[in-house]
Amino acid sequence: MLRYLCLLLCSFGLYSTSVNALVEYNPIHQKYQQVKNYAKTINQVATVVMGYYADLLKHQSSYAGNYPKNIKALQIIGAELSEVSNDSEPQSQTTFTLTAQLSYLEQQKLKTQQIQEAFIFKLNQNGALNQVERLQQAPNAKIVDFEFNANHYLNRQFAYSWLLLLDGHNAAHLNMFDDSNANYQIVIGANRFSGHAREALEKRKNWMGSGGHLLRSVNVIKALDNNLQLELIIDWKGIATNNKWRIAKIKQVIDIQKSDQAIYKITNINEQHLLPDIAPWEKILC
Amino acid sequence: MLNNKLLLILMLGFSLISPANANSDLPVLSGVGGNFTAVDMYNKPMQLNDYKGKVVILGFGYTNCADVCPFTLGYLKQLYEQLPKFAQDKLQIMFVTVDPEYDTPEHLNQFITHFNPNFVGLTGSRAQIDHIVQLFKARYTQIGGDVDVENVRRVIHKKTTSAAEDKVRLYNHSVTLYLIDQDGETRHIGYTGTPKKEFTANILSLLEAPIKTENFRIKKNSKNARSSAAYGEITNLSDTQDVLLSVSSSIAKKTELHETQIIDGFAKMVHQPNHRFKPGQVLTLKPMSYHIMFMGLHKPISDLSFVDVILKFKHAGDIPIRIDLER
Repeated sequence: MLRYLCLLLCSFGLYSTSVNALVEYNPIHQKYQQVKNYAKTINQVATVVMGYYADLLKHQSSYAGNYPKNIKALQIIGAELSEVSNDSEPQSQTTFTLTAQLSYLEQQKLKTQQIQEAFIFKLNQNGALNQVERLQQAPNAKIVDFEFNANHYLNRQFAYSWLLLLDGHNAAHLNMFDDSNANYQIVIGANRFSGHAREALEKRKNWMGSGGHLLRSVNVIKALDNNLQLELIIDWKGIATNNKWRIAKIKQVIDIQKSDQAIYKITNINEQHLLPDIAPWEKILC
Repeated sequence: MLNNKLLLILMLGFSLISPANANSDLPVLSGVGGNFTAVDMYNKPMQLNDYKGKVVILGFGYTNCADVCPFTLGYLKQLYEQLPKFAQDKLQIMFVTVDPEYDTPEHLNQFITHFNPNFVGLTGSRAQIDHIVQLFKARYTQIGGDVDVENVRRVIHKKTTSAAEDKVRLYNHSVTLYLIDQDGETRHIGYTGTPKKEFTANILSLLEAPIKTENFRIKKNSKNARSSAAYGEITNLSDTQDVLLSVSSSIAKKTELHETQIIDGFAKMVHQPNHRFKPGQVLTLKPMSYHIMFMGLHKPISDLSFVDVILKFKHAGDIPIRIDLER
């Protein structure tokens, strides 16, 4: 009997060793690392680039000399991320190539230009921008709607840096917002929890696990004086605490008070998980 | 001596701590679904958590639905029938009415049983139904007002006490079928347009196959050989006896389970039809013992890099194996 018990315990021991091995080499775990790295990289570089264009449109950019004066609007029409950072390669470099159209005033006339530029990042420096290279430049592009102004880019800078925080990253540029007094309500199916932002985030991690948030859209629901309400639609992929691969389509409505120092002071976050867009017919009613 | 009983204990221990549906690539759809309460077609209160340990397919509809509901239930009936016995035993199909005022447990029972008595119909209060609809991010809307019953084409007529009572409502509703795993988490969505083969594969990916095959190999032999053999191990992980009904492959005229037996001093290969696998039994296929025999090879085995074989079991259904050729 004792011998049987020993063998049984041994088998559990062997099992647990094989489970550990599975976790290391599991394709789901590899997919998780890819998603996490990709989300971190894209959110880091996008935060910087959005801030870069916001500064340009506010005419506060140290790179202004490389652009026409008096830019009124700028619209990104193409983006490509050349390489994804990898935590195991601390020297990794990422290039984010953007194509944009811009409208500017010159001698009381609205002129346009299309540019393509490469933003080169050294990711070991916490996502710091290393270099900007102009790849192409052509006059006479499409006139850009004036809604693509500094606020458009500031809102996106906030959104991308907020996603970094949701993924548990600490980056230097996170000081653009303040969530110290924010309330956070989360509805995930039958589960509801709320509380102070950071506390609710911890509970959320227990439920969702760990992964990467990717921004799909930012809509301004309300913009009155310094009060702003943004709706973010976010895709999330990751591994839940029960080791299952998990995906989410998240809607967050975020109430913000903007300060003079361009700090986004978050007062409230309302999060709901929607049906992920995995089938084109899923909204059909018969 | 490591006897069969001990082996079974070890394997059961393994399966108890083995993560459920570990082989499935289907992601959990965060925030879609969750536990709910309702009244089943036997007029008993139920909750989704009662079905933990089973895979569930859940859909919405109502008994007076003239088009998509009968079609959906017909689709689910066929899907269910295509599954191997072990999967049928571990699957529950649920139909939630969006018309709980009309669809009483008795009427739902009559309607659902028409398609398959193993399916379960769910009704309840309007608040309960709305909660389930909300949990699954589904939708429904009523179309117009009450309609006289004679104007509605339907599968089953309700046993009503008076004609005045039998006014019906028509609804638009989501057509989504939710695939829910043993822990009550939604893993995929489908509908009647989803190929049955794809839906079946998704269901099976959530279930641990009761038959495990491992270490299979085929030796490359000479180009002129007309037959070949495969070796490996087949284990019955379930707690019931199963029967290997047949073995098939496309590489030979005949593929069978054989055993080499010494008869009158000669080694003979004897066909083993309907080989029985006791719970926990491991059958080792090796030279001079059991093996899978390929007779009448369509082309030299040395020209192939792998061979696909299907073991057809009475309960476990089709168990595919891809066997690499030894170099």
